[in-house]
Amino acid sequence: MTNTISAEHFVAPFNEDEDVITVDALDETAKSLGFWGEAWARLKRNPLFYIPTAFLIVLLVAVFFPSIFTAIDPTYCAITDSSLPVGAPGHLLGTTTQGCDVFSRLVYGAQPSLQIGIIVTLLGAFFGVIIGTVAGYMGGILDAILTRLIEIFISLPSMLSFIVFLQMMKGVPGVFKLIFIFSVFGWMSIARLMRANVMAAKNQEFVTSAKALGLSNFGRMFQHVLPNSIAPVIAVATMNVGAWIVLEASISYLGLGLGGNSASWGMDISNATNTMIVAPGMLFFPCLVLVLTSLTFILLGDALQDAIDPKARR
Amino acid sequence: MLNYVLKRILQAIPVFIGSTLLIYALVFLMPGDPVRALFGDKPVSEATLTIIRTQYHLNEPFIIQYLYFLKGLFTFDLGVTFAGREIIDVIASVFPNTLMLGTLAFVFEVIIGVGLGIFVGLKRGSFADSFTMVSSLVLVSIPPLVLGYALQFLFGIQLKVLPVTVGTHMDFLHLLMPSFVLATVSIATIIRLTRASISDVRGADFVRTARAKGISEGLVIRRHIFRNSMIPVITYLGIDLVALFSGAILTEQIFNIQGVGNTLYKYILIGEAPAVVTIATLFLILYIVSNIVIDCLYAALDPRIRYGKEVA
Repeated sequence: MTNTISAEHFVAPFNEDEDVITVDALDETAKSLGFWGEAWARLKRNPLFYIPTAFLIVLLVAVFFPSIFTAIDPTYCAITDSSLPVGAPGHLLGTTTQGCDVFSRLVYGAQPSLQIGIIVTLLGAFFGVIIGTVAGYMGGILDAILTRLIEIFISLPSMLSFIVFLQMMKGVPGVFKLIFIFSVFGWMSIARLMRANVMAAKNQEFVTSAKALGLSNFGRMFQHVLPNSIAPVIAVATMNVGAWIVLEASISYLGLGLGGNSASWGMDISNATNTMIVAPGMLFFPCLVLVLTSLTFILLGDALQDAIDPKARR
Repeated sequence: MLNYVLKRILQAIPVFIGSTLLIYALVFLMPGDPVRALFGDKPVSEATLTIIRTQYHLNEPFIIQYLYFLKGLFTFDLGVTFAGREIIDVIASVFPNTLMLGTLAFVFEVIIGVGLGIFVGLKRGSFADSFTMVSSLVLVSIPPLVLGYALQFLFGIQLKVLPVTVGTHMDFLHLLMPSFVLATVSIATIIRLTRASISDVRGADFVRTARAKGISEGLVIRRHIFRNSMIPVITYLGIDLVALFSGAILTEQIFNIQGVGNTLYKYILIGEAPAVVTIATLFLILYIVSNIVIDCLYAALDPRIRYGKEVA
């Protein structure tokens, strides 16, 4: 016997002598979408998901294949070409006071920005999820200790800590230094969120039934509680990518970031502020790219949030 | 309630020790010899250096130095900078500037953030609502760095209606742009928080009851919806106010304001460890204490917090 029972909806005909007709046969064998499938279906319907995704793809192409966009080396600066205006031959967006190509610097600046943003977010999310899960699931003394640890790191004034740290690590090359320092301070918000989610999830029936089936404490924590609590973290982490990119630019602006002549949006903004009045374009373009990148991750995170938790919006 | 207050205070002690120790370690492990740097290129005898080091307890082990620092803190003796200035004088000269900037930014946050939040919270689903939600996302994605220069360029250089930087002119007109820039960091969060809270309460049973009793809509909004939805908003604003008063390095740097943030930044760059540690610790204490006060206030206003286990 097959188990393909199909429930059918019947519609009464207009004329009594006609047979009833079936419409909309319900296929019960169809696979259910599940939590992630439904979230993905909602995401696909949201127009605000496609706009940032398109821009993100452009950014990623710029990270991996910058030479597609420009043939000019961002660190090659000819002083004879200093301060060319937008649209100058060979320089689409003009040149800086040092004679570097503005467009090329924007393209190559995507690499450190996205490296830092994405790696710091992944590291922060990794440690945040583990610490939050352990604290929320284990409870008791371990939770008390981990929660105090979170509070200690949150209460430190972050910008100050970054600057002090960067002063200490002056000799270390830019990108690694920034990734390390940001990651040290980048896990607390995720840990807090995860802890709250885990505390809400750990007493649900599926966890109890896993226990009844003999699954170990550790297994329950990582196989059942963690996957069921992690969804909101994904949206927050996506938004964080933009925040770290902005922070990198701010730190580079203060002169403590990547340094040297390396292409960095923050450095370009910092250099352009001196000539804001005579060459506003030099300041405008790196600012624009920074805002668009930040907006991309915020919109993406917002779309993910809506897809994961559609009730929150309404 | 008393139990809750005591619990919060006890919990704050390890946080205080841990975070001050961390700041202290970070700052004092900065490279360079600040005492030798005091003399520049001039020759100086080892004996003189030793005297100065003893004066600042720099030749003691790290943990003893930290204990001396705590002792100074608890006896209200904040010490002197390496350059010989009383740290309390430094704070007295720059804190008022940060206070003015922060207060004005706070006013922006309340008027724009809470005001818009209430407005769209009451009109959920309308065009104004969607428009505010999207534009708050756009606003939050403009970093202070960019917004600061954009406003300077537009209002200061092109339109010439507002002064470009602040310098020593600490007045309303000069602080308008920087305080708005500072406020935008949290405005979007405040709008969203207020909106969510308002529309939560709007659907509550007691609001329906109030309407059923025939109370006018204005009164329902003022007495029932507004009062009950402001608790989380006030909590957030309280913590944010402390953050605003702790100085904003970036905003103060862009607009050249001689506030706490700018001073700390300058001191870090020249290795003025005592001043950095002391000022940072004072604001840390302010942060921890105000957190306890706000938590207790929250618990007093909303008894569910106390009886539930612990708010995450």
